[in-house]
Amino acid sequence: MGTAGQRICLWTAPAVAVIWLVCFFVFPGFTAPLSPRLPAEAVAAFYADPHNLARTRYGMILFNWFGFGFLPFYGLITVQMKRMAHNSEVLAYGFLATATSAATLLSVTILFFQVAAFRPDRDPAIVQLINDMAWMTFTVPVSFLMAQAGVLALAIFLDRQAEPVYPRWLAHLNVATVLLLAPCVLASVELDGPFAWDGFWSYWVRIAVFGAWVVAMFFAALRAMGRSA
Amino acid sequence: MSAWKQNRQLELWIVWWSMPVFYLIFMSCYFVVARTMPPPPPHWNPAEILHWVELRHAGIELGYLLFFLTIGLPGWHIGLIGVLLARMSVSPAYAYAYIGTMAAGTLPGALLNGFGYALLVLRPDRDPRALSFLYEFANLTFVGTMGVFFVGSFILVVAILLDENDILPKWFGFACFWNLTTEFTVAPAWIFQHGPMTWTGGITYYWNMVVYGVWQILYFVVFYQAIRRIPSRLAA
Repeated sequence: MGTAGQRICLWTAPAVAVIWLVCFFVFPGFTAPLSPRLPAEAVAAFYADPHNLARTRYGMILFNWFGFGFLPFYGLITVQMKRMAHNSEVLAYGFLATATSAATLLSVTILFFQVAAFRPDRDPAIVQLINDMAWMTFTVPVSFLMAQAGVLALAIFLDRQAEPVYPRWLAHLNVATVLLLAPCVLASVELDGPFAWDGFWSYWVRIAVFGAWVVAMFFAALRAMGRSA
Repeated sequence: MSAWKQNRQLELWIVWWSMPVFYLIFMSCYFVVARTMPPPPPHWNPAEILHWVELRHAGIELGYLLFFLTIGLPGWHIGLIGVLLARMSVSPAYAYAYIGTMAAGTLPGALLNGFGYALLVLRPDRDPRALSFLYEFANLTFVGTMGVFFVGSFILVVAILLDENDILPKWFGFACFWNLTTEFTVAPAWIFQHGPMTWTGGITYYWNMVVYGVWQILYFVVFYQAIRRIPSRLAA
């Protein structure tokens, strides 16, 4: 059933997921993402609105606390990857490195949102700049999640044992994650449409894909833990 | 099991091959497609910056799209170096320190440059003060990121020179030290706006690129040779 320490790492994942969900509903910019087309004055007005301001500040303080929250879970996945029948630990280490980079990017995003909300009466051009940096950092660097899912897919495909650590379908799910996330990089050049940072694909599909990935990995890790001594 | 899966060190070879592929794309993005390297000078006013950016608009968009798609791959390469370090006689501490340090390095070392240029071309009509900030942010962070690579190189130097298992050649340890010294020669970029010590100067930028370029090629070669010598964990 795994050690007590491993079980704690596993169960932090649903706890953190619930907190992230709360942050999602508290920050008004998540339930209705800000369009890149918004003029600077409208962006500044969003942060200056007393209702939005309080929810941004408190929502982002919570998100800041738990922005790195999945790292214990990723640590557990790394341990389970090291149990795979591979020639070396390269894929497990690669997973840990990419997962750490992805979490760092999210924490920087949160800081930008917090800086924007710290002094909302700033010059609108500067508020817009900080807001742009937040959305760009939040949306565009999907490559880390892609590399994270990609290395995991490779690891599952190459797990050469009769009873592999993770089931084969999880490798396919990770490949699908890579493919579905890739178009989100278009948010770096699009101001409108499904690939803009508030667009259907770059925002809603990306969040849904990440959510599905976490759920699938949680159950896979739970099952793998149940089968380990 | 398929025959190809039996290949000794297949995982390391896949990761190794992703290195030249990634660096070819990475360098092409900067030097050929976006043409943001070599960097333009620090003393330009917003009108000059805007003119220069507009000449490269489509190139910067395409170049940085490719950059953003592939920039996660160095995380795999960190894993490869982690495996080599873990096999050295020093201590696994060096492998873990390297993985931790370098996983943080991509953000200041490359991504901030990408965000700066992407935001410049996304909204070229933004306030000129914000435009200047993004331009300086993109170039200074790229050239002036020092600490993370200083520590990364330091770990490699100490581990390679002390290692008794001969995982990597000793001369490569000295090459890593040579690369480490450029983390000091780039420091003046944070101060000067004119001359050879700016972010695009001969002493700061060009010397760094020569040393880094040579080191990067050596890096492919020594890792290739090292992987061939590593026994498989599965054979044990």
